Amino acid sequence: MAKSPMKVASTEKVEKSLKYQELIDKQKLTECPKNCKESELEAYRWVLTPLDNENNFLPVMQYSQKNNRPMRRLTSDDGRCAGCAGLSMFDSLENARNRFAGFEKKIQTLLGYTHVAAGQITKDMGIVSEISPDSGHFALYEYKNVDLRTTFTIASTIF
Amino acid sequence: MEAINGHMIGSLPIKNLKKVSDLLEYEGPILSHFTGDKNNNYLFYWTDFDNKHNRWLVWKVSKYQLYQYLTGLISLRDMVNEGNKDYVYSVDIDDELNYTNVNAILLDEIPEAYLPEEDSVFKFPVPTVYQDLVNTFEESSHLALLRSIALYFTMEPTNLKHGRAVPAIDAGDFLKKLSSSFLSFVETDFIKRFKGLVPDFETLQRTAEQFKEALTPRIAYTTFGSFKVGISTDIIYPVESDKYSAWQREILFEYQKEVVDVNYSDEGQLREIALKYDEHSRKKIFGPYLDIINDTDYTLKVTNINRSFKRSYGRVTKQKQQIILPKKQIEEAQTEKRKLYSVILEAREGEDFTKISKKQFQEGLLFAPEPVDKVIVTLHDLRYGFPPLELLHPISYTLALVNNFYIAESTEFGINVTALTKEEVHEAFQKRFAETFMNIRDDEDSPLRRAYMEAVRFYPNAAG
Repeated sequence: MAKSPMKVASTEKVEKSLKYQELIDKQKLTECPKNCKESELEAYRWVLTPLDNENNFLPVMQYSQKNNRPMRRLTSDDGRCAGCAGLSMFDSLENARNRFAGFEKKIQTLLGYTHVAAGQITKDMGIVSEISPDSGHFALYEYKNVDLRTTFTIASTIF
Repeated sequence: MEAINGHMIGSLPIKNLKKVSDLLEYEGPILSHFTGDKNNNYLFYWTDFDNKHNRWLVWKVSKYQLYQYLTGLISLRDMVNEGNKDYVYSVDIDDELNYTNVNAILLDEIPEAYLPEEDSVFKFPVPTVYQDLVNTFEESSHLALLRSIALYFTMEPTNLKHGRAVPAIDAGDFLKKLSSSFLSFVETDFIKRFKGLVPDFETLQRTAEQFKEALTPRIAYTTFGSFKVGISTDIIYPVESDKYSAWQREILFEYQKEVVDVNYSDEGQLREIALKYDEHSRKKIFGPYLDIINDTDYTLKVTNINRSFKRSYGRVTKQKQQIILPKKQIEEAQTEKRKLYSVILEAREGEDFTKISKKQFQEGLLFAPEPVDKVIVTLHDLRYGFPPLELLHPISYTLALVNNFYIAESTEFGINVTALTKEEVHEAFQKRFAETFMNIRDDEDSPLRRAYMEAVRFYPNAAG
């Protein structure tokens, strides 16, 4: 499938502190995020259309609070760091779609995503966790003033 | 959320829940594996949500089910529906991990919307934390496959003086002969079937050798008393390409048909074998098998796993054996076995029997030598082994000769050693005696210690 052209990130100087640092501090998370570094790579994220839907590119805690939904948590560790400040991403369109395809339809419906958006992560945008060698999944912790809705584009439907 | 038709209970009746791993997750768990009391395993499966709670189905699973799910053998739906439980639980959990609305639901009362779908199989790499579990069950399921196709051989002693217990050395001899017969069959049958397909004979032989390695008979089952052993072979392990896989799957059955399921007393069947296989192949395939059948110390029965196939054998006369085996091989097989004999000899007092002549031996013989199962050997001193030990009184062991192997045994000193010659077995016994003494001399709980302490004196400072 042909990829959509990616938007190039703005060269405007950004402040290099994490967008959700206050939430991290509020939860007293001392090692969050862990083992992350600035990087330049193509990234793919599950989204809703239109891309400027205000629920896209929100960490799950923000999304839950904003939409009056509970977070999926079974232990106190679930969703603590990535949940409040990280965005799930994949390193390829194929990996992004495969992960979604691995869930049965009922779960896909509960998750609600319909498309995959693609974009270029630059060092000005934030820090990324290690990429899972099995799934290509990683988390992006955005810097302040970064708005991925303006730099990502819809690459494909999610199915 | 869906209405639950269940029995409301105050709390989830599972204590000490500890998460092992998320099996499915995306920005939070979707399917998670927990352990609880008594190391039982539970799954939490996300089914629904409202503005305060996520709803989870919770049920007990076995490790085997987990293995089957993780390796794609069963679906999540199969795991829920597995009838090893009466109930599954549904529980609503909020952001703060408070559990409410806990229900026990009968399996057939689970709302369809909450049941995993038919194709809810695990489609991701097995998480590292489950690798040991998978390896364990991979081995046992491989064993189950081997058992399902195995041929079960039962050796029963004709003389029940020692009960039905079969000496290990005889069992070993049986396995060796059977393996040799089967592998020769593999080679012969492979070459016969594929010589048209692989014109280069060297390549054909090389592949046959690879199959002999891959198809080496494996013990899939054993019981003792009578010696019953399930012999199988790896019908899945691929060699070169899958063009041979149909042959590979059938090879043990072919062996059963061609070699095991034969009435060796029926001349007609023997002549068919003689026509079908050349002399070399008959010698290699049927020679060891006839040796097993004709061992007068045992009777042999063979079955498959569900006993739809049964075969037992009578002795095969020399005349009938000659239909399929060269005369020389039959004679070799019949003169091979050595036995111990008890001899009463008249001789001069103080005779050095190591130097006695054949004539003196024949003239001194008072009675015809009698075969014996074992003899008592007495040791007056220990020549082998370290540390040097001095015997305080003579000790003895029984010496047996079974299938040309010497076995020295002493229950008093807990020793059983085997060797090819009487000199080797004599030396091995003494070395084992010294080793055992060193191991147990400070072990006051050892039941053997007293016998050793009363039999020997030890010089700890002696030079090696």
